[in-house]
Amino acid sequence: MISPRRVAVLAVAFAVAVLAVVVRTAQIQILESSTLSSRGQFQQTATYYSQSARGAIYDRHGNILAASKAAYLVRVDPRYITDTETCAFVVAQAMARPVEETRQRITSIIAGSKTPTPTSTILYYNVPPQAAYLLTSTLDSLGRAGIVVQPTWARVYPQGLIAGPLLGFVSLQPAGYAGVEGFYDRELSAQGGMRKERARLDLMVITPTHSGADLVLTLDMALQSYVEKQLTAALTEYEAAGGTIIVMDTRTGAVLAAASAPGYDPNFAIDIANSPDANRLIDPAVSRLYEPGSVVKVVTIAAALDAGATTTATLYQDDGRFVVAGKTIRNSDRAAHGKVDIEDTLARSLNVVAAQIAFDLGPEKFYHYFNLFGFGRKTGIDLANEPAGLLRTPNDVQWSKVDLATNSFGQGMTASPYQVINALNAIANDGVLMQPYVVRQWRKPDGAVVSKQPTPMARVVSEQTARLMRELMQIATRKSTPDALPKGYTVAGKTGTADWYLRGVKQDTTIVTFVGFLPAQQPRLTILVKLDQPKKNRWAAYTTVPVFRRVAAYAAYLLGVPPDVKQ
Amino acid sequence: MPDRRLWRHFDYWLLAAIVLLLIGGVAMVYSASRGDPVIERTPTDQAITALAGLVVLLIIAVIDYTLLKNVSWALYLLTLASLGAVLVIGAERFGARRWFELGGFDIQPGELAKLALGIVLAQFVADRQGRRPYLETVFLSGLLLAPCVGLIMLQPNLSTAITIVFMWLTIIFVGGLERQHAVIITLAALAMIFLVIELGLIEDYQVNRIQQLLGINVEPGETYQADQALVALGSGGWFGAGFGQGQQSQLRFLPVRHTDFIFSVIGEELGFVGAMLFVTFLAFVIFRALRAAWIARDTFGRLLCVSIAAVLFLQTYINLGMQVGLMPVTGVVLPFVSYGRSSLITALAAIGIIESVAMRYKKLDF
Repeated sequence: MISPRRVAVLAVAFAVAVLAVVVRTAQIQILESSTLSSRGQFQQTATYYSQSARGAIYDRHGNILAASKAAYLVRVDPRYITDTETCAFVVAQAMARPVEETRQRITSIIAGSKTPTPTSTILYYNVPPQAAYLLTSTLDSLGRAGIVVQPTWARVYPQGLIAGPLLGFVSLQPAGYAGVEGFYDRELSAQGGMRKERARLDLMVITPTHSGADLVLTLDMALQSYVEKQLTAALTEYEAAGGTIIVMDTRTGAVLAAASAPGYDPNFAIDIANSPDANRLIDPAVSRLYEPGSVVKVVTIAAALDAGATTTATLYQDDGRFVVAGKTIRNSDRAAHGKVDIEDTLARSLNVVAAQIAFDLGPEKFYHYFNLFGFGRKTGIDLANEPAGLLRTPNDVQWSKVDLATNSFGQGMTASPYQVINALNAIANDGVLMQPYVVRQWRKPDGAVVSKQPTPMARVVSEQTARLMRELMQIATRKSTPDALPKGYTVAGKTGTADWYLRGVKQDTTIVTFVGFLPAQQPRLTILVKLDQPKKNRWAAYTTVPVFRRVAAYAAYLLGVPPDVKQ
Repeated sequence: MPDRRLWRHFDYWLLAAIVLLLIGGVAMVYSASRGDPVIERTPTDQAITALAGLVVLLIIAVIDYTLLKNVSWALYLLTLASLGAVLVIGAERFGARRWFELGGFDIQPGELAKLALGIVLAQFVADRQGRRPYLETVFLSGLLLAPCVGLIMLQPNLSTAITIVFMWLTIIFVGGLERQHAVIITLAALAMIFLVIELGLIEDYQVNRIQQLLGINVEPGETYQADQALVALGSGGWFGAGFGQGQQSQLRFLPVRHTDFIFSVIGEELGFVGAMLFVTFLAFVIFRALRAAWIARDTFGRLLCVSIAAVLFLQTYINLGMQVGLMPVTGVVLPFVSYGRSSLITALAAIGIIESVAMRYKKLDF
């Protein structure tokens, strides 16, 4: 039998090894204890901004347009990621995404983090709690693998495309961009704050401390849906590239519906923002400036009437041309119409006469009125990214008398659809310019309800002038665009056709607008229909006008506007 | 019925130490898995496995260990077969095929191989004792071992392969290796390690972990697990944060805290004093195994106990070593303490063999 001596040798060797462990443990737990435990406290204390639920957005009848739900962000922490393969596999499984996609994203985030301007470390967003939970539990067995699951709020827009551009969207910051989300970002977002908390790094639990205010819009979802459908149909029918329809409550300036194309579904806004298509995220209704064209003649004539520079009896000689500073202004039909009054001017949309009226009024008064009507300045609508529009005045160096002539029929200047509808709405509203708005009420988390009161901005023309203008417009509509009249209603409106410019070069296509209100003499609704580059027909009278009629008929029916024409 | 006198030599001290370690282990697994629904069943599992394992321990203790000689070749073939099969039909996790999944139970053939090969090698060396040259025994036993180690490396599972090789070295050392041969074998082993690394037979991550330990080529984040273990232990101080109070563990900074890194949880929550209590009991168990080897009535029993003591020692040393920064991070559990059903049952069965040897050491005197 072999000797047991070697067992004793083993025992000694093992004892030495165990002693080494004991000594090393003592060194860590006793000598280095204070350093290590402060390291622990440091890493266990997470500093982050607390996030609370963003307020919801409703239409005027309480339909939810935007809401917040708990969701998670999956981030890559490039400092800690070592095993990209395993991480990609684990994350892809939990997210139910292709492994290849996840791996590529992780790789590009890591690559991005090594550049001087680190890119976003967000791997996936709007991750539902179940998937986040699944991921967290798998990550747990990997230790801190460099994947962080972070709670946040996801924004959901149950109506999808409907009213998308008007609502705007929320970034992952989170911060509201565009539309209502952008304008009311502060009210919607809850009060945040910095908190230090001992927390797990892989799954931080944040309890909302505050919640943001809920907003109630002036929109009517039934009307909005109808308007969206009409816009889509019009784009197809007239082969137009884009367009805007706005329905406004004449007396208050409240926006009842506003649709724009091309629109977008804010549920996917972040994907769009990261794509080459990102400029789709601006709302054309508020941000897209264009030459409004002849609809502005309403403002020119109203100004001249109000200032006493013209009357319904004044006769003008239309020779088909008006020369100013060597430049010749012509009518759109290139014809001369002889002796005409302002009624003819409106009905036939004569540029030559409009220019004459503007010169009779004089630049000072002309621009005073144009400013009063809101051109060249913001309407103050509660939507983000509103531009002022271009209107050169005699105070500008580049201004010339040519501007005065062209501005009289809405060219050589730019305005947004909201500016155009709001200017003409002043005529409908007995000469008082309103501040357009889309939020009628906000409900604060403490229960307080703040209601927006309609805000008159200025009296721009007298009540009599406004009434007279409505009569002129009603006659003009009946004469030249009878297709605008819905059954049972009178309408006062005006068309406008402007050339489409691409990077300063005039194109063969047009932008067409029709703004009208009804009933003509006691207006309740003001409606703008604008189409970009209709290929089927380049004139407003044959494109926007029938769309206006359908929208007007439905809006009047929906809002219970009594008909003013006996059947 | 086994002879009642047998129980006179049953190593009650050893059993007491094992039971205390099991209780402490279940308690710490409970603390480490609290609040984590994915692993919240582990303490219950561990407790049930421990009870079952104790029964296995007692049954094996009663059985005369010399009977194992009769089945050792069958054991060898079974080991080879299961190691081969796991490569084909085993479950793959994190890039390694080490497990059979049988109705919710995970069986690691690598765990069973440690015990089975201990029996096979002990018998092989014992049977050939007295034969010269001894180097022939060394060589042949190595040949016996090689296919098993190869299959384990294919999983890959470097730590189990190392454990088995270490066990073999211990057996041939105690079996009568001459001093000059010991030197030669040490050199050969070093050469082998060098070759294995150079020929790329081990995975990059395995090289990385060794480099991390030595502090070379370290990228931030790579030493995360080892760092977190150090922080946990260091936060414990003399007396610890208290049971269930370790922030490193409760906030889940510690990875695989209920298995591989349970010692860090112990260190953080029970402090140096608590950690030493566990180390003392573990050391006690290993020394009682060596005591059984010392008093064993035959060479087979002696080598059997040596092989078990060697495996228990190496696992304990690697596991503790990786948490205190003496060893690279590998997936080796702490015997009797870490959560793990395969490893716990195997370890308790091994203790059963120790008891079986210890109980029968004076039998010849009767």
